[in-house]
Amino acid sequence: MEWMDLLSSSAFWVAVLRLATPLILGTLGVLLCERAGVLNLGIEGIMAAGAFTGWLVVYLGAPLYVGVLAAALAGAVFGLLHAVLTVPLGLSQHVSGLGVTLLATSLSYFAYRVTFPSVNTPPTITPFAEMKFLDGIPLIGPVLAGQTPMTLIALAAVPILAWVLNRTPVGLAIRMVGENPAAAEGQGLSVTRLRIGAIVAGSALMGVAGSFLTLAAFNAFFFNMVNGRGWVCVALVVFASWRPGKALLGALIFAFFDALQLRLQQGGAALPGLPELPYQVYLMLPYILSILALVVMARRAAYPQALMKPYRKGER
Amino acid sequence: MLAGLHPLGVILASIFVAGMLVGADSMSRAIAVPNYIADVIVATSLLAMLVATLFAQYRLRRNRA
Repeated sequence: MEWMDLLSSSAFWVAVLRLATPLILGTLGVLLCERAGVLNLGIEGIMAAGAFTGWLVVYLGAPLYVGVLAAALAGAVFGLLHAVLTVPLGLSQHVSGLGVTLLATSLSYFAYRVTFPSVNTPPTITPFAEMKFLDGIPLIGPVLAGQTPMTLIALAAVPILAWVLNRTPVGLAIRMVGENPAAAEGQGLSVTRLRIGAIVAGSALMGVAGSFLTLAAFNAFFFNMVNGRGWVCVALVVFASWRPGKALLGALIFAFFDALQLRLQQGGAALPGLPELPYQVYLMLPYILSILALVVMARRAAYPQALMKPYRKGER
Repeated sequence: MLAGLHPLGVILASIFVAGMLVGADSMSRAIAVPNYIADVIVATSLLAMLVATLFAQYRLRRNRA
């Protein structure tokens, strides 16, 4: 296999976009929370909860889009828990986030085992179909045709979130409580409400990111299916220096190396210029690169000034 | 966090978590409860402990009427 063959094959780019979708949605979710000044480490668990809820609702006979909505709702519920703990109560955002992750993950595994006590092969659903009709579009058609509607939703969510954050009064208010909550309070805005709202909305996005795994990427729910994607999203937000457009870029770069790594694993024949290594080395590749990217990018990142600082009214 | 940031608390906390895990295993053997219940309880107690640290900062005073 040659480099050119790989990079010109639409199957490869289909895989890249497919792997990037949950990362895009999840990263946007974390980004929204952090722009409002709250770190949300609950993402890993919220994605698992979204994956499970969305899949269960569809398995019980609801249409796929209802499944996505249910996943968003499940995400919002856990987001609300995190929001109540961190905003009005002002508790440690790290511990609360990790607690939410632990709780949401184990609750969804528990619920899965309760609903299906003894199955060895996971029950399946019919996931979102690929959009074959898009094949006719020149250049990007074949790549888009391999995607499900959820990928389009994710791609559309990037400019929408960027527009909301940068061009609307609500977005300005959210950025303000993330930068200087005291000033926002002085303008008559409710810091508590804005932060809770941002966390709930961001967590709903994370839930949708999780539901992509069960409703579009696979057709069943597995244990450990989120598999660290949530933590990658948290890292990608730093890489993106809290900008939606760069978040898309970061998710695509990570997914590119993830897809490359998959090819190297199954291909056997290494690409020219790459040494024959155990495939586990390539498995590390996307993560090593995200660490390197963080080292380079995080230095000049302009992070929200009030990130991880709980706001108490009237306190200096 | 469960240990309340105290070294000796770590012993108590680990015994608690271990008890949960072992108990969940025997529960699942006895009446087929999924053993993920242990993680659910540990997570819930973690969050409860977190809230408790906040309330520990306040003191209740009884006003004599």
